Amino acid sequence: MIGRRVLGQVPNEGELSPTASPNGAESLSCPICNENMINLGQLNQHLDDTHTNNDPSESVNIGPYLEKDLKNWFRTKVVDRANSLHPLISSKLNTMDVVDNMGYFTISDSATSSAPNSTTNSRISSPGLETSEISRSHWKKPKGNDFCHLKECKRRLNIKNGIVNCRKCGFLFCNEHTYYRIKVNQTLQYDPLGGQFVRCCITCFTNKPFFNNFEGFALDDTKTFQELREKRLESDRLKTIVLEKRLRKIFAFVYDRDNPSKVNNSEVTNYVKQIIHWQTDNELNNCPLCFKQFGRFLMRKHHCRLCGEIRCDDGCSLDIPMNYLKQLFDQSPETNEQYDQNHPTEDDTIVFDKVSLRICKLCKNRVFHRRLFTQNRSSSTGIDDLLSTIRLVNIYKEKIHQLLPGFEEDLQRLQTIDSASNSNQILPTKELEDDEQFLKMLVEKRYKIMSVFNKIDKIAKGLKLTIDQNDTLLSLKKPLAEGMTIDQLKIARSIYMQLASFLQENMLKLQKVPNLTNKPSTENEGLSKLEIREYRDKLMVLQEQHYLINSMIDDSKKKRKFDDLKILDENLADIETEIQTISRKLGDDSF
Amino acid sequence: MADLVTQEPRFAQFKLVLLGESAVGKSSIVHRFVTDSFDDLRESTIGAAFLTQTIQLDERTTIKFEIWDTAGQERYKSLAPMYYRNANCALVAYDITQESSLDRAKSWIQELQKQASADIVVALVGNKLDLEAERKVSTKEAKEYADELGLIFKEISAKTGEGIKDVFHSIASKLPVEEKLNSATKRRRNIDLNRPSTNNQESCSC
Ligand SMILES: Nc1nc2c(ncn2[C@@H]2O[C@H](COP(=O)(O)OP(=O)(O)OP(=O)(O)O)[C@@H](O)[C@H]2O)c(=O)[nH]1
Ligand SMILES: [Mg+2]
Ligand SMILES: [Zn+2]
Ligand SMILES: [Zn+2]
Ligand SMILES: [Zn+2]
Ligand SMILES: [Zn+2]
Ligand SMILES: [Zn+2]
Repeated sequence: MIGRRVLGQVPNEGELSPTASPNGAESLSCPICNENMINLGQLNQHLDDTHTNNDPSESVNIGPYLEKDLKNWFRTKVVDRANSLHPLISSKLNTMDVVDNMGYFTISDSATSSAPNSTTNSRISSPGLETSEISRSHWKKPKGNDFCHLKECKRRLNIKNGIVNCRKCGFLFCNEHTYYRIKVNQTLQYDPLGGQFVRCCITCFTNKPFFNNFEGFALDDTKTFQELREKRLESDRLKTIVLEKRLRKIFAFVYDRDNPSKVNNSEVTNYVKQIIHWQTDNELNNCPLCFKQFGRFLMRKHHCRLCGEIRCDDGCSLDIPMNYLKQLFDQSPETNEQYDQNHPTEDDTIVFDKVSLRICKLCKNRVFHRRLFTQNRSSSTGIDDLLSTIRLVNIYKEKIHQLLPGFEEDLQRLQTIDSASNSNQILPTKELEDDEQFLKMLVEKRYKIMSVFNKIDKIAKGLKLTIDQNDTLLSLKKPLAEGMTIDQLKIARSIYMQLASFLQENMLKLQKVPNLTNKPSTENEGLSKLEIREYRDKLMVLQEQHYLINSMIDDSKKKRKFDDLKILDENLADIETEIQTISRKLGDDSF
Repeated sequence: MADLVTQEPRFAQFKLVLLGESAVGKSSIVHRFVTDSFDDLRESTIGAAFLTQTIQLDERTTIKFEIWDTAGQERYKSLAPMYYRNANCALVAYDITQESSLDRAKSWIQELQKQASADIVVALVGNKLDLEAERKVSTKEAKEYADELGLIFKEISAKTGEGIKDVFHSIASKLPVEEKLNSATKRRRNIDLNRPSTNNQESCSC
């Protein structure tokens, strides 16, 4: 239920409005993270902003996350509330001292004067609380020899003990037994919402409805919220449908032709430009999603092929292999039955390696989140987690397969430049500059590949952790972790092995430094091939670090950490000196 | 007079470099120290990362560490000299469950002895103390090595946080604070030695 809890008050349907600002006694909070919300509109927005899956890695674990969040919510919202209420209530009942501002437990005038809590007092004794509009005609008149009306008391009523009419029942009581307040209306009925506070006897106080209901009343906003949410979801669905249509068109463009294997990325991009609005990229300095600054070097601008808007490549958009995308799309729960006929054919596999589509995280969520989520939810076994893991790994692996060959080719080119310099050709300055550019590009590629490897590595570590934990459980003859079976453990193991060998094999390629030509180098005073290799490797690492420090500098500027900036600037200078030194040593053998 | 000087708050900044084989937990140690958090699935470091943390060594001494967390992967080893060259202190880490990592740590220490500044304060730490059951490196072996070379030695766990603060405090207490006092503090002393000391700690020069 989504709702506001109002202690001691009866719900008043007429007053309920989704935008009404709550008073202090009400609280509306997100059922997932428990953050306080001003109104339902904000909650609606918040659910979209905060709890809609953004990170591809998150979709793997949506189940556990959600569960954890709900548990948290339950704990803070319900259990803590209950725990905090009971001592409060008991202490109130004992001392009749009141701290709450909910008009539920109240105190008498005389108790007020001795109560230390002044904020409470000001509320209780504020003017207009007890007005003369409420009838006194039912008040019993003191006869001079009166006793407290409470059977258990029967104390003589006098100046010392007090002679007080209960405003509700009208009988006479001692001070002690009229230290209470309730809200009544003009006709003396209990009315927690519209009534006024009046002094009453203990009997009238404890007789009030829901006296024993420590939770108060719930204003159930679920329905109102559902309507509101429904509207939002409806417009979301429309947007999703638009995106799905575009995606289908793109698939049709790629696959519905005689020879899909001939398609290339730029053709696809040209086609996409015809069917969507392609954002012009001047004047955009930061990624609109994560606000990271675009730069010449690594933070390049990229267009999402579904919405046409500009995004960074650092988490806000991902280049996804076309085949994989199609497979995922065809696997949607709605079209499950057609899965087989849409299953990638031989031809598709040819497309696989060459064509990919860049999609931003918003579009990814719009089109795929619901699919992945429904899949995850439909059966909550660990097997789905494993499948999502495999899916994710496949994206990353494909990315490696896309990037790595290009990188290797570039290394080959490096070799050519090498032999050119070895054959004593003097390169014109223009070409040297190009080489500089070329090296930067190479470093950029390397860095990207490294980042993807790191992501795979992280997944592998995660698997390893699960496997180790379950192995330990096994060895202790304890049941496996929730949702895990022996078979799944086996699958997890084999995925892990596969990942480990994938990493080993491919990262080795990355480490491979260009083979030098057979020609012995003569120009640079006796540097051995090995030395040249080492220096080049160093140069590459330095360029990479140069880039990293530059981005740290940007970051420090943004966060105004000027102390750090000084240190980073110094380091950048160090790196540049180092780069120069090594370049000089390498002489013509530098890139 | 001398009394006044010793009462004065001191602020000094030191460069610390982390070295050690990949996956021994260098980044985890730093993150425990800086943000008091731990991540089971930390990504392996690329290049060298930069962080800072300030500690209160005693009532009057504040020390800021500029921390360079280097990548342990072989490929990046050529970066290390740039970061240890003028470092004031180094934390060399190994993993108590990996014998090879102590060997790597020893070779880093040798390299430091040859290449780093002569007065560098070096700490050898055995990480992952929480994995006592899988221990492969005995405390005795590592401690004897450290003692012989006069290094700080501790076994710690980035995961539980055990011993992390201790290590950085031990390092801080061995650092030559007086020599390193930042210029503002020194200037203040020269100009106004008789001024009663204030309790301000932000004596940085900006
Ligand atoms: N059990 C346990 N695991 C740890 C501890 N410290 C780190 N780890 C784990 O060890 C792995 C490697 O930790 P990192 O901090 O990335 O290691 P690193 O030395 O920075 O590695 P590189 O960046 O590659 O040089 C991670 O999976 C950590 O979760 C520890 O004290 N106890
Ligand atoms: Mg690291
Ligand atoms: Zn929330
Ligand atoms: Zn009464
Ligand atoms: Zn009485
Ligand atoms: Zn971005
Ligand atoms: Zn998009």
